[in-house]
Amino acid sequence: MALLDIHDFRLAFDGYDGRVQVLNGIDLSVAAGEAVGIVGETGCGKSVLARSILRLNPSPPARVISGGIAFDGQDVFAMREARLRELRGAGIGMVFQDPATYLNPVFSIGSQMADVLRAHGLRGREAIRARSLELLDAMRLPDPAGLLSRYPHELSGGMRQRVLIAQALAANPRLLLADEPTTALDVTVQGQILALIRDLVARLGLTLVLISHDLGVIGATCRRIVVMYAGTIVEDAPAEALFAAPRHPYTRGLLAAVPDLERPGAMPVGIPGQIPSLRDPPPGCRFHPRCAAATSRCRVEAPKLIGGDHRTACHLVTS
Amino acid sequence: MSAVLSLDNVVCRYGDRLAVDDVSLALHQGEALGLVGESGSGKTTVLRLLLRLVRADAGIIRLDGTDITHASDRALRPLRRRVQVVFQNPHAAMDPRCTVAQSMAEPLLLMGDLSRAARTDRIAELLEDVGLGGDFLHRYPHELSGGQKQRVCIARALAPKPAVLLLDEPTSALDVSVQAQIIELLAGLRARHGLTYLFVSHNLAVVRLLCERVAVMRQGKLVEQGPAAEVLSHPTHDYTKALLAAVLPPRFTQERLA
Repeated sequence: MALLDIHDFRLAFDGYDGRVQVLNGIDLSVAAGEAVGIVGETGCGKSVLARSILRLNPSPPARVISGGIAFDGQDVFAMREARLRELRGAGIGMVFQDPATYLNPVFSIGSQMADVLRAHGLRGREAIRARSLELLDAMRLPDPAGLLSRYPHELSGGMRQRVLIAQALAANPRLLLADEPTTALDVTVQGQILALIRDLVARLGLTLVLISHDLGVIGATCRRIVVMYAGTIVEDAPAEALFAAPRHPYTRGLLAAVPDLERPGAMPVGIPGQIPSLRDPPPGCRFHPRCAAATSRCRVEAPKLIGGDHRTACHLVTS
Repeated sequence: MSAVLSLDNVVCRYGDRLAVDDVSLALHQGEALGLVGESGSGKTTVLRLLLRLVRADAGIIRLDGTDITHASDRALRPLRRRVQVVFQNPHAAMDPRCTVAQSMAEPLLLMGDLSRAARTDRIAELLEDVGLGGDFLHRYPHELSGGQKQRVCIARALAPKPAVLLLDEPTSALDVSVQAQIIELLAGLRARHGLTYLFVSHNLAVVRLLCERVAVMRQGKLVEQGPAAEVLSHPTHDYTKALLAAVLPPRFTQERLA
């Protein structure tokens, strides 16, 4: 059984000027022990999807139109508050993009670690201190004992993200959900954080879902890549297969658009047009207005995501 | 080759912090120079020094051979049109209350040598040059995508017919499919107008595409500079090596980590 099972998941946000269908039929299963990367550009719905897995999108305005998300066989949207609190942290640990905004500037690292550990039921001053030190040490943070009395502003961006990963793993979750964990960091620090995530995943036997706009970041941490476009999954394949032989025109466009230091002669090619508004998405395949190969069928019929371990949602590929 | 814009042994302090530490850098006519380094390395301060937005605490800044280190605002005004700037975040660089036409008219009004009709023509011509049609004239920033806004910002920077464009991470806030379009636009504009670029970026791959020369900064110091092909394939400084080693190419897979 899949650890995480997302089935025909449709989510909309209700606004004053209408309904925005942000996720449009997401089908995705993640087995225990997998490392899956979700890649896509601004507004494709990848962060909304990540938040949906933890039911973090406030409702209203968020509304589930159809389908659902199950973690370890349990429907996330049917959970009671107490069970949901367990899911957040003990089932799934989440790391967000900007480490500066997820730590409270007026409390010490030690007190914020203690908050998290107490929320997960740990009691006793000594036990909390010991567990905090153990967690910070596992994040390869130097001088964990000294760190406990320091404040977020005294830490570098990379150190803050390590503290947040420590908090995300405090209750031994089975799945680590990381939403752009290195986007706010410098490249050299990015490499260290990704190495840490890889190491933790291997050592703790975690399942990883990592979200990024950067194919390089995804490739460096994940074995399987899911490409999203305008609220849909357009391709889902093993990393090597996706890079060697991308099938969906959007995936191909995305790969052609990234400047590659290893191929300085190749000018990147942009994808013409722009990301559609989800308030009024194009009918049929949502990529068809930007697709050079679009046919009349693409304009009316939304393609299904089909295939074995290399799934594609494109009439041109699957027919 | 003559330097259009140069820094000679320039020092800049913010309080007791050395932001730029004895930097000498020359921007030659017609070249594109990439300035790379991590956040806090002093890249943006160099750009602000060249614009005279911050004061140098020591050293000399020259524009077209003239020392402008201590030039008065009045003396600088006619020179300002020679050097224009494009910022990282196009959403913050446009007044939300102004239409594209109004935003673009401002630099032309400040130059003060065009009639109203000539201004209108020039705005249309500039928009055309950055790949936007006339139907963008009366739109507000919130009606534009990020890429379209950055195109407007580039057109606005070109309005005074500058010799030099200072580009501060102009593609970093954009999605890759849009970034590629802006890279292409910048390469094309430079070829068409013989512009000189100082391209500040942390993205080495973009720098490699757009610049012939690259300068690497770390902690306020210039640690390495030279032809881009050389510096980015055979770096000599350890920091440049570390920066390059940290680049994750788009088709990176874990197989390559071993």
